[in-house]
Amino acid sequence: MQLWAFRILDGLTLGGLLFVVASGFTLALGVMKIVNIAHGALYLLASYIAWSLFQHYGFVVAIAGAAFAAAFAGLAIQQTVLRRMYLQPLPQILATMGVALIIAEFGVIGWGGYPRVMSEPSWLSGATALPQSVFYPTYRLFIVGVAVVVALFLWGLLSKTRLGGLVRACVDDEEMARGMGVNVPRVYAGVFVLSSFLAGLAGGIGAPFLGAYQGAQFDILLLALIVVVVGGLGSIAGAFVASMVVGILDSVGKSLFPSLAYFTLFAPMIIILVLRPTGLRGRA
Amino acid sequence: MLTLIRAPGQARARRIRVGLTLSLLVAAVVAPPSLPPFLLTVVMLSLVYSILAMSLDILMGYTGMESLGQAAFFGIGAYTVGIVMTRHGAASWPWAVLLALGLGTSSAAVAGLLAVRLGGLFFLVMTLAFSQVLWGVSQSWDSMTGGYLGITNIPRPYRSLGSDLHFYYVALSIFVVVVFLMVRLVRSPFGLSLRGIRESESRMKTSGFNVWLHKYIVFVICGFFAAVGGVAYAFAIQFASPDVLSITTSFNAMLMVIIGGVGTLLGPVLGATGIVFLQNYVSGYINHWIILLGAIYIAAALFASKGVVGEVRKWWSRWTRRRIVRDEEALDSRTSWSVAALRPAGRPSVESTNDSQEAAALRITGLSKSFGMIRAVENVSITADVGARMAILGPNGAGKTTLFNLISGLYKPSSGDIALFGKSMARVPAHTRVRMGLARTYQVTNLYPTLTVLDNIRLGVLGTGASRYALHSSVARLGRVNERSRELLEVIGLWERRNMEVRHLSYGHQRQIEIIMALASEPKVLLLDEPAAGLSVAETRPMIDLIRSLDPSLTVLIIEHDMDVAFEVATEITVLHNGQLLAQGSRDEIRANSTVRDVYLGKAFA
Repeated sequence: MQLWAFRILDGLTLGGLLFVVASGFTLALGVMKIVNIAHGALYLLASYIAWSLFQHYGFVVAIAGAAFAAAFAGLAIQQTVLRRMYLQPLPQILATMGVALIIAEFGVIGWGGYPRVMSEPSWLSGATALPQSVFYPTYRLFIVGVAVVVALFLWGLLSKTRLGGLVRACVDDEEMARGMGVNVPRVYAGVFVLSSFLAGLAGGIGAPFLGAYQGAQFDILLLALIVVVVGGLGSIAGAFVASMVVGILDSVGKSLFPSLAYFTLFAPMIIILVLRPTGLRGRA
Repeated sequence: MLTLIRAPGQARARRIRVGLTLSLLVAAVVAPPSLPPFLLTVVMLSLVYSILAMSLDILMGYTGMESLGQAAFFGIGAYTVGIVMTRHGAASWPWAVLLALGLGTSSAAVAGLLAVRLGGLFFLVMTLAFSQVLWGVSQSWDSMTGGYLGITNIPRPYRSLGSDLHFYYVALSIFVVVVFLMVRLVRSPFGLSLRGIRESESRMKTSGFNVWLHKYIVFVICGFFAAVGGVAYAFAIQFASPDVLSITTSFNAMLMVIIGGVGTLLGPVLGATGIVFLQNYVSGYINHWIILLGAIYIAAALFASKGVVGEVRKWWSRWTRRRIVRDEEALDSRTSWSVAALRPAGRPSVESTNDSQEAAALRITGLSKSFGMIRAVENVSITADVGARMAILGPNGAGKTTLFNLISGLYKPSSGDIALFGKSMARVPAHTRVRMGLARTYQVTNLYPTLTVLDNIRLGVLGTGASRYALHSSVARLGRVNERSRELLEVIGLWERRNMEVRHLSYGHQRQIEIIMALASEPKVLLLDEPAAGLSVAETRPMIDLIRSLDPSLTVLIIEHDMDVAFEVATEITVLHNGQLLAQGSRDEIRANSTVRDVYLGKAFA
């Protein structure tokens, strides 16, 4: 019984981390129709940066530095490259692939080819007692907490603020929004920066959990893709549910069928797509 | 027939093309024994990746389906060969190859079921997710795939093929056969249908093509070709690792296509050769080749819209001083349309068939369509007898085009029924309705812009013909299709311009092609959506004449804003207002109807 509780909690931890990455990915996809292949690379870059900052400046600076560095990198990508290929999916995909390759290779140059795992901060290390005398690593609970905070923040931002209204207007009818005087390029730049920030935040808090390693750029991209396909393109709420489902399936699947872990992820994705081609919360 | 179809100016280009191909082939056969071994390996890899890139280009360049997971089928081919050959030895090669091609093709059949029905972004994401999952499996299924390290020392079929030089000729033969098959595919009626789908899916549906099935078939075919590439790869390199099905391989294939030239078969070969050479030679000289590759990706996204082949074509046409001739002619006022050609030969006229006597040509009962809260069409019933000429009138937003989209099957009705000659077709897909005898035109010109005039009409004829799935024959040699296309083009006097791209035709001519293309399917009921929209007063006359010269047994429904056209062409009139039926009757009844006058006609028509 306790073993299962651990597996579910592990799943929720991974799901929480996934949500932070995937919410950024689905935001760029839903608002700007950009399949950002470099999203995983931004995550990886942030993990490396967090690892370095943590050596001298402590946890909070490491996480904040990682997230803002990724946001800044996102701004640079958007302003130099993506702005020139507005609403053209294929060039955007190729260009972000190029960016992903370059970022990952800079990772090799700067941090070497082997994994860098950041330590947990002392105030989050150890275990916390949960009901039913289950003890679970505090840092992992912290990740779940961050995911919930991010979910609430995004929900509030998109549905309660003027800024969110502008974003939703651009999603619904970009041309009309433009006609009503919304500065669409600026909204797009802002959304892309937010999306990159979320990738960076995930990279920061994931650095002690998954570590920074070559290959993470595509591992994370794959998981974010599955989350977005299952949850529905562009849906934050769908991404939240799907992240948790994918996280739990991954953790349970890996312990039951260690060599077929990806099948256990893929099977539910197929089932959901057969039943609902646009995902759990997707729109046609 | 052949000389008639091909433009005289193309003969020279064709001779040059054949000459170049032959000399390249001779070089590919003669040169290798004198090449250093490493260069030979690189050439062999170029051939293998060319197959993968061409298979992707048939999807993205010809059909407009941009797949981000083509490496999945390539990788399945390579891994299957690797697994079977290392376990069962060299003698098992026929089984290894068969199983590899079978698995590659059938996994494309499965992935296609999931992905093909999705459009645009969903298709991109699904194909990417599919290949990424296989990549994940290849990494984690250690006992089968060897995990990260992959499968090494894959034996080749015979000891004599152990030398790379000998195997090179096998790879070259595979490449030549694949190119031959692909050229056949691209030139076949099925290949033409793919380009039609790229240009306009809705027009293809309403010309009688089962668009989903065509896309699905080509997806599976391209999966097969990619698997062939994977098999060649495994035997050539004798190694298979997760890298072969990775996102990097899928993307490199796409990069090859885009750099070389989208929508051609030569382009992917050039792109593949270029990237493979760079990868194998430049990576030896600089430390971080990946950064250069990344820069190439970004540069390709920014600058390479038509690729090498496109640039060469542009340069060639400038050099030979051939300019695109634009047709800016307005429609002439000639009235002597060769009416007879519009009546398909051999088809009995509709009156003489028995089953059509009881039933009306088109009967719509209680048809409704809502988009969310908006009721675009509400409880509309219309009956059109055989040979009727009915105009559908109504102000903007009355639901006229929605009605046509419902009849032609682009929209599903919320309720109500549509019957053609007594057979209900409300649940029948759009392309089947065309085969039941329905055809339509569009208010906003909906042709295949970058295809030639002749190919546009051929697609109209092919839609209801048995040869639309033919993979083996060349379109240029389909006697009946080409004769019929010529007849139809001669009716509007555009046969001389058959080799022009349709987008270069004048607007008036494009409007005529709309109608001729609908007639190409030999319909019994024809829906014309504002045929005179956007035409000048002088051009409207020949359009009216064209419509009036249609076969009297053909039932015609026409949406028209131009009252002169409507009252001249139609004998019966139906008026829609806010999605509902306002009035129905003869010309005079409608003129006399006071409600219609208030809502729509105004006093001038009283």
